[in-house]
Amino acid sequence: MLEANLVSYAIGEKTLLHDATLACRPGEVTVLLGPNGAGKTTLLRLLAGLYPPSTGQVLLDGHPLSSFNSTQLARQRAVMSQQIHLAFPLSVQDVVLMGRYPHFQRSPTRHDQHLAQQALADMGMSSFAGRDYSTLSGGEAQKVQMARVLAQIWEAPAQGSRVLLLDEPVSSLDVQYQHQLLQRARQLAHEQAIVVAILHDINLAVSYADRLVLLKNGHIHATLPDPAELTEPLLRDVFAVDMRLLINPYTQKPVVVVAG
Amino acid sequence: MTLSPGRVRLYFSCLTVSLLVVLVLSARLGAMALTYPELGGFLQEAFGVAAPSADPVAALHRGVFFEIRLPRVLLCACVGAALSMSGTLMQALFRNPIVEPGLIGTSAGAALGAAVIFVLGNSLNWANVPVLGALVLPAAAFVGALAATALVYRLSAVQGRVTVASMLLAGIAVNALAAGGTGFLSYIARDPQARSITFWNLGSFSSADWPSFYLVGLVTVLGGWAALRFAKSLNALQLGETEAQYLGINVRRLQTQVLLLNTLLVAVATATVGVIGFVGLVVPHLLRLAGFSDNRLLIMGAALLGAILMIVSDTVARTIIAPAELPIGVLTAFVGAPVFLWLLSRYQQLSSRGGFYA
Repeated sequence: MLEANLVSYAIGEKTLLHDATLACRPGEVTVLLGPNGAGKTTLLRLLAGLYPPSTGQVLLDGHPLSSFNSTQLARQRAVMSQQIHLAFPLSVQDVVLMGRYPHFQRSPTRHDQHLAQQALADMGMSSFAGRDYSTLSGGEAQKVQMARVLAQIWEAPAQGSRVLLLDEPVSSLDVQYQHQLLQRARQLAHEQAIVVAILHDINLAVSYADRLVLLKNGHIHATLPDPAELTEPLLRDVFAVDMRLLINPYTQKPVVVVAG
Repeated sequence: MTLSPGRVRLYFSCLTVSLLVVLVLSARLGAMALTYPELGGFLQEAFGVAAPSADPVAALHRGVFFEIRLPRVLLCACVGAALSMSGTLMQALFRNPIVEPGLIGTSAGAALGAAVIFVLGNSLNWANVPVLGALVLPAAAFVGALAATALVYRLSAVQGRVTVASMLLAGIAVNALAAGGTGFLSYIARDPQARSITFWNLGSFSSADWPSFYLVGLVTVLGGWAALRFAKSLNALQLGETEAQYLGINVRRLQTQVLLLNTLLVAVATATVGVIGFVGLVVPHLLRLAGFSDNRLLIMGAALLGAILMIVSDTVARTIIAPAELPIGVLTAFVGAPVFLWLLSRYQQLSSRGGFYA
C-alpha cells in the first residue's frame, strides 16, 4: 500500500499541497482529478518520493519512502512524467532500455534487453526501435515513455509492491491509444500493482478508476472509493463548470457532459 | 542511430590503429626528422634487444627521441584524451552539446589559478620544495577551475535546467573575470613571468618532459576509469534530472562528482600545457556525427579520438613554421571556433522548434 499521511508541500511562502491523506491499494487504479494548479502533480511527485514532504509522511508497504535506498525504490516504482525532451539524439530502444537501469550494474543483460523489447512490443512500438526519439510525435513519444516505465517494473520484486505513477499519460494520444495505454495500466493493477494516474479527461477517469481523488486549490476535496459516487454538485465544486452526469447506455457507467 | 556491435568494433579498431600510426608519425617528424630504422633501433635499445650505438649523431638523435619527442607525443595523447573526455562529461552533465571547458570558464579559471603561482610562486618558499613544488601549479589550477565552473553552473542553472543562452552569458562573464585577473597578474609581473603567462595562455607542449607526462597520464587514466563508472548515470540524465532520480540516481551527488572529476582533468592538463580550447567541443561532436550516443562509448571514443587529434595538431604546430613553433591553442581555435559557430547556428534553429533546453 502507498499511503500519504497529512502530507503538505511548500516552496517558500507558497503551499502547493495542504495536509493530503490518501491510501492507494495494490490491485486498484487511483485517479487524481482536478483543475490546473490543484496540486495533482505535486501529490504524485510526493508519492514518487521525488522530494520529501514539508510535513507529513509517505509510506510504501508501511515504511517511509525516505527509508528506501534510491535504487531499491527504482526497482519497484516507475514514474511517467508529462513531457520529456532529450538533449542528444537517442534511439527509441535506448530510451526504453533506460527503464532497466536500476536492474543492472554496467551493461544490460540479455534479459534486460529482452524485457525492453517486450515492453516496446506491448505498446505496439516495436517498429520504432531504431528511430531517433526526438523525431517522434507527441503521442509516439508517450507510448515509448510508457514502454520505458513498464520495462522498469516489468517483473514483480521479491518483496514489496510495484508502483506505477502516471502524470497525464494520454494527453497526446488518439482515442484508440488512450484506451490501450490505460488498459495496460489496469492490467498491471490486476497483477497487484499500485497504479496512480493523473487524468484530465473526466470520462476516462470515471471509466478506468477504482478510486477517484478530487483535488482543488491544493486540498484533497473528496475521495470516492467508487467512481459511481461522483455527483453533479461535487463536479461543479471542483471544476467550477456546470456539468451533468448521464448514464452511458452501452457501459452503464456515468458520463460527464457540460451543460451549456 | 544506435551503432551495431560490429560497427562499434570497427570504429574502435580504426581509432586504435590511427592512434598508433599518428604516435609513430609524430615521433618521427619535427625540426629534426628521424627515420623509421632509427625509431626501430631506439625501440630495440629501449627493450634491451640491441646495444646503443656509439655514433655521436645517433646519440644526438636518441637524446632527441627519448628526452624530447617521446614524452611530448605521449603527453599530447594524454592531454587530448583528458580534454575530450572532459568535454564529453560536461556535455552530458549540462545536457547540452555545445559545452566545452573553454566556454564555461574551467580553462580560464585554471589559467588564473596557475598565473597566481607564476607571479607569486617565487615569493613562496614552499613552492620550491621538489615534490610539493611540482604539485602546487596543478593544485592552484584545480582551485581556479573548480571555482569558475561551479560559478557558471550556479548562474546558468534555472531550476536544474541549464539553458544555452544563460550558460554562454555566465561563461562570458566568468571568462572575462578570470581573464581580467590573469591580465592583472601579467601586468604586475616581471617580464619573463609575463611572457610565460602569455605563451601559456595560448597553450604549448614545448615544455613536455617525463614528469609532466607521468602526472597527466596518471590523472587521465584514473579519470577515464572514473568517467566510465558515471557513464550509465549520465545516460539516464539525458532524460532530465527528475527522470534520472526516478531511475534511482542521486542526481546532486552525480553532479558534484562529475564536476570534480572534470575539473581535475582540465586543471591538470591546463597546468601542464596551458589553455587549449575547442578540443573538448569538437571531439564528442565528431563521435556523435558517427552515431555514438551511449556515454560509455562516447567517453572511450573521445579519449582515443582526442589523443589522435591532439597529436596531429601538435605535429602541425611544431612543423608548419619549423624551427619555430606555433602555439597549439592558436591552431585548435582556428579549427574549433568555426565548428562551434556552426553548432551554435544549428542549435539556434533547433531552439525555434522548441528544443532549446534539452
